[in-house]
Amino acid sequence: MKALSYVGELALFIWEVLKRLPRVFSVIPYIINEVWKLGIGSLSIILITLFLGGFATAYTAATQGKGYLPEVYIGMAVAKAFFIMLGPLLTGLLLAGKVTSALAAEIGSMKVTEQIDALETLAIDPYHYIILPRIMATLIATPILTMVGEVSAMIGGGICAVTLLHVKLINYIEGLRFNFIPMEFAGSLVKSAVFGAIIGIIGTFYGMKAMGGAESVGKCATQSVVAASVLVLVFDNIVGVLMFNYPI
Amino acid sequence: MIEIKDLYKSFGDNHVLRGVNLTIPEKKITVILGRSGVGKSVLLKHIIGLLKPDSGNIFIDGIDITRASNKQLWNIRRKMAMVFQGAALLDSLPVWQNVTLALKVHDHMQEEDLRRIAHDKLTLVEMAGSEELMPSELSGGMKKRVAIARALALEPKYLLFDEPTTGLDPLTAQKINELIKGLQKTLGLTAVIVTHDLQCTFTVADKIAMLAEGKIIFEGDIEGFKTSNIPLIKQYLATFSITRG
Ligand SMILES: Nc1ncnc2c1ncn2[C@@H]1O[C@H](COP(=O)(O)OP(=O)(O)OP(=O)(O)O)[C@@H](O)[C@H]1O
Ligand SMILES: [Mg+2]
Repeated sequence: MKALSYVGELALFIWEVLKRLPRVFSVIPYIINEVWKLGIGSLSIILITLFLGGFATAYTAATQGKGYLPEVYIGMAVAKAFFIMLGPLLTGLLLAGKVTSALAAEIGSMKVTEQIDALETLAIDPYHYIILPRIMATLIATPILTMVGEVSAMIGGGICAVTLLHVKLINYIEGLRFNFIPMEFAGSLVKSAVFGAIIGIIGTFYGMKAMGGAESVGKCATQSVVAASVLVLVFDNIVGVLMFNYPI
Repeated sequence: MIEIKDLYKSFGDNHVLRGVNLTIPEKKITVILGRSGVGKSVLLKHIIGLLKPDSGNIFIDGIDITRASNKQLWNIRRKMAMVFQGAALLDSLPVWQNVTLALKVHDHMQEEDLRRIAHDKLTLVEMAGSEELMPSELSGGMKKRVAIARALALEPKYLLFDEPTTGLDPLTAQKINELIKGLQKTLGLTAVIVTHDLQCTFTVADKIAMLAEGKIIFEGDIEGFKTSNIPLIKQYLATFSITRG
């Protein structure tokens, strides 16, 4: 029963946002501003994490495949791992922690200090001017950050390959390009856009649920991170199955 | 004119409003008195359409805001402004943008005009010079003033105040009271003030209404209030004379 009303509330919230979508052009400046804020705020953590992820993947691929696989496969392992799986997923989970909670806390504190009510009394629609730009921003920024992160992972893998594994750079790069399937790259972007939507929707949804005082804001922020992380993992599978199950 | 008819509102088992009937006359200051938690803020939020009642009606210039379409609601809201209990300024915007936000969004004015209007409205509330400050840099009394300036920027016909003096020292509170009274006179506004502060009430009220147990138990002027036989009002007045010595 509780789960049902939760899903109902969320669906209603998404519907309220979708209704404003036709007028999204009037809030483009707000969206750009949010994308910028979000990008700057999350870039370094994504660069570092994905760099280390690429580094570790190259090393693992090399040790596991030692003696069986030619060294060009190291590059391929990194590229495949990150395009199909790790790039969107790691970025999605990092942002689900960082951005979702920040959004929930921001909107939540606006809610409990009556800033959201104040906007309504000024005939400024908070769904149009506050919620929609933030969801659009995560939707746009997440794929961009994912791409940047994927590049960072390739570089991490490359540095590992050249320094620790003594692979020739040209062979590593050859490996990255080997068996490159554009559909997989596109798939990683679609996935990360879905994650971006989840992060934006869940963050703002939990923010709007806050009421009472600061304590409620903290609670909603924590809950939003849990919900967003679980949903990112669930949709990682759903989109993965839909996008990558081409016939062998 | 605002007419509230048989308004009911519950939150779960908490029956906050239980048949509120009240008329708010034009170009006057009506004060709604009541103890903490009695539902004053809830009543005010119904008047401006932030909350929907379980039953009952609120007519604003003849239009029922409880049944209004979204479009009608936005139109009515352009005639009304509310000063919130905690000021509710947007944390992320400097004072002048807070004051002119609605004009920027609705009328797409140029920055130059917006700044001029912000300056004018801030002058009215004696806050000129604070244009570039952020809300976090203001004291409680200053925030209230800026919130009043923001409300005035829309040139509303109806101005609603939720506890304009709560949390302020007596001198600052008195200044805010005089400000409200002065603004109402010069701009000819219809004001509704919700408060539990009798000092404020006696300074500004043209009409007093007392909210208790979900109903309006008294409606009248200051004289009528002071000579009322209703026990709760007598108690209220007694504590007031004690604190005044
Ligand atoms: N959105 C809401 N959801 C549930 N209950 C609410 C909500 N808003 C108010 N209430 C409840 O309604 C009652 C009246 O609250 P309200 O804020 O109107 O009191 P008030 O008279 O303004 O008090 P104060 O002087 O302390 O501001 C309280 O019991 C409060 O808990
Ligand atoms: Mg209140």
